Amino acid sequence: MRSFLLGVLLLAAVVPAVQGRSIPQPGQPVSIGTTPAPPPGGAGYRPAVNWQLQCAGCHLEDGRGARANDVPRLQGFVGRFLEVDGGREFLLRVPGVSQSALSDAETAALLNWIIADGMAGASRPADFQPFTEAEVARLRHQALLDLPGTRAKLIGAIRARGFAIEDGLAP
Amino acid sequence: MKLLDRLFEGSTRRMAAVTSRRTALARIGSWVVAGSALPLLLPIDRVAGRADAAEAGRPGDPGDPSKCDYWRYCSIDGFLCTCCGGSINTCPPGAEVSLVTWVGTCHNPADDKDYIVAYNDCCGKHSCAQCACTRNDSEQPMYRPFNNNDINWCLGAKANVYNCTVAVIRGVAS
Repeated sequence: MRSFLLGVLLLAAVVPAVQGRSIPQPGQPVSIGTTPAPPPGGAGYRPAVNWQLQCAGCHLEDGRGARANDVPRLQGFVGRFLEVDGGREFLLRVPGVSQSALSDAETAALLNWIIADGMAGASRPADFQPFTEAEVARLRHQALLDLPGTRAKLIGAIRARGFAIEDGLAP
Repeated sequence: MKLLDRLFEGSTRRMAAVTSRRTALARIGSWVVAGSALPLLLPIDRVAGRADAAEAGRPGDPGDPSKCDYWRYCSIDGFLCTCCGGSINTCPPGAEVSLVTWVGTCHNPADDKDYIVAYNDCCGKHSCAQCACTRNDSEQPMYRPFNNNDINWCLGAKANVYNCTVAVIRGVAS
């Protein structure tokens, strides 16, 4: 009798954990007509679609950023980084760019789209040279060890050039 | 019993006296043939017996938005707002949508296109705990946080308590 009770107690202790583990129905059918998702890199999407899939979740659709989560504003400002030494390399090495699932060519196309196709707005430098696949390949693997420090230095340099800091984070 | 016997005998004799048996047989035969052929010829909706008869949804948008296998939920991880007092793209009353979110693609079987779907979380109310779904078609590992659905995306809302998830179409992926 005692072992039976112990068994029941053991089951009562284990069952919720097992259910919790498999909380969405195990053996749940796949969606109607589903196909395996294409790999994020090399899917051949337009830069605007890659923006949506890789960036817009946090920087938001129009690139205005999310102040509450320290997500910087890109809209109308991101081009200022190209005005200062090290800024171009910085844009290729920030985690969202360097660690994205996109290929080097797609990353270059996406950055060019951001700078030259409207999002950077007036912050686009007059002499903007498009990013190239080889440039992305060379720089994205150099880890940025001190992200806040590097960024603060660059922001200081941009300010020294006389540009307003409209990254959505500046006090 | 006798009454029934008499009734049927009478009616049968009357029928035999009035009609020619061949005519009667021919007529009955033709009615049987026409009657059984009629349902096949008439334009009736015959979906009811087929395997996909249970499939709900509007034309071009197949499936039931309150079920995990609905096509827009191909990368969802959480509770469906359609089961929690909201809808496929609106939060339940009193819950706040987190603008910061993650975005994936889902394949619509109706038009064979991939759509960009944002899985915004609804926040600020207690966990809804209805229609728990985990499907990870275009999800990426945690080291790519912007493509991961195990994160509590309520981090973008005022209150970080997770309630449920919506699936908003942002465009066509091409």
